[in-house]
Amino acid sequence: MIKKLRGVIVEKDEDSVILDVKGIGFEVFVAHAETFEKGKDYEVYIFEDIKENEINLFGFLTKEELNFFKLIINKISGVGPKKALDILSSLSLDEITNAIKKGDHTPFLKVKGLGEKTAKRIVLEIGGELKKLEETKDENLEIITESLISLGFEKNRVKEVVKNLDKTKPIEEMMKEGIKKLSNEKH
Amino acid sequence: MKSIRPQSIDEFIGQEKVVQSIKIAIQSSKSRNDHLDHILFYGPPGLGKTTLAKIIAEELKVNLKYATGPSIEKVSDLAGILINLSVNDILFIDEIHRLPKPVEEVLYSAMEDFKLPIVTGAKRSAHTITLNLQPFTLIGATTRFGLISPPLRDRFGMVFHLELYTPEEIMKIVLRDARILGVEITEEGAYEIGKRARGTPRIGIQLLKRVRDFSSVNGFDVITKEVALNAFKNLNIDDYGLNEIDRKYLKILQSNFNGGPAGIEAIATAMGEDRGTIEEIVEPYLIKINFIIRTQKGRIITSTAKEYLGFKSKDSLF
Repeated sequence: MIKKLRGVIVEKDEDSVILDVKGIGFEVFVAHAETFEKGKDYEVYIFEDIKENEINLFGFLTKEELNFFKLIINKISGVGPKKALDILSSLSLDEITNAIKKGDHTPFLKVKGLGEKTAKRIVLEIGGELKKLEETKDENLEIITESLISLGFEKNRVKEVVKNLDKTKPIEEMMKEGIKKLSNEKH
Repeated sequence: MKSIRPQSIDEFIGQEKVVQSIKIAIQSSKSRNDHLDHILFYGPPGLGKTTLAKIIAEELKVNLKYATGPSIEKVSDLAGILINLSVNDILFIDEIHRLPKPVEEVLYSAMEDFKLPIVTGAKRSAHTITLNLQPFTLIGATTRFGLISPPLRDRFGMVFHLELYTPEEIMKIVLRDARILGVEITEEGAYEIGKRARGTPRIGIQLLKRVRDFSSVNGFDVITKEVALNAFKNLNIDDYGLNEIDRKYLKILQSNFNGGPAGIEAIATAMGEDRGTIEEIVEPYLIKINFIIRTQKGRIITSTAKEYLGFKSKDSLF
């Protein structure tokens, strides 16, 4: 399973690039192929789509984009990798999350070939998923805050430090990071 | 400034058995490419516990993080130290018998399997988040072995008792330090210092510096036996290196308790001193130079000590 590739862009197409990784060229479908520069180094997170008679690689510059992409193809029936990539090409991740938060499906109508019904379903279902994600993240932050205070760190400093933790990391990592920051501040 | 502390295990003088075991442990750790077992040093102050910890770190080429029992007040202090250690680093905790109990309990699992359990959540059902730590070596040091709790003691793979040094060993240390400090001293001069250092290198070094001051003020180039003896007379240090508190101990044991046997508590009360200080600092040296004997019934003064105090043995009733 390919999860990540790093290499030089040797060719660009409308919706894909060819990434040269130590002499092997991978065709990677990307949103915004036009923003990639030939001859430059890139690191992309890969989604590998394996079908009966073809394998397609979809690449993303950030984990957030990859996660959203996976969420859409898993949750919204009738939307496959190609269509999901179209959504990410037409709208930025910020626009997407804003629209979903507001419950507004109209921005999705900009995506070519995406009907109103599907657009509404995206807002509804992904909205629910995002909420769940936010909630577990908030719960984690609460656990971390509580335990750091109970260890004996000063309450206000804990709150300040927890605010700036990398929320994409597992809870253990966040906790370690928090302890490191809190104990190094002292000296 | 040049450091007087030895930098490598081969430069360390005295404590031969301990040094031998440490050498083997270091070699084994290096060949296994694994962390060294936890070590506990105990014994009177000034015998080289910190120095040995530094040397071990130096030999293993790892960092040494220094802390003391009382300085780790809260679990958060310990967590901060442990999280910031790199692979196989050494954490040295001096006066480890003074760690607060909650901190000590967290230390158990850190020592045992390099995990830091954090119990969380007053609101929700309490659960534990376990943080993985880098493997490390804890070197604990204490002057009060009796105050180390059994669970903590059992988690040290190696426990070493540091003994008081002989005058000859201190002489060697004094000669070495004099060379580093650029002080000229004869072997006889160094031996006189060795005799008065209470079996403790740290005191030997202090005495060397004071004798050096005396000799340079009085215009001597080399510290000979005569110069050293002169200096000690001048500094009011007796032939055995005993100080006020030692003499008080002997006088009280002789006059209040008729030379003993007397219990440690009774002696401590009569002296107005803390029992621990007497047991850990005063008595070891007095026993070492055969001034007192520790028996089941209590402490007994010896005839050598009586002579020292100016009582002749025949003054005794028996």
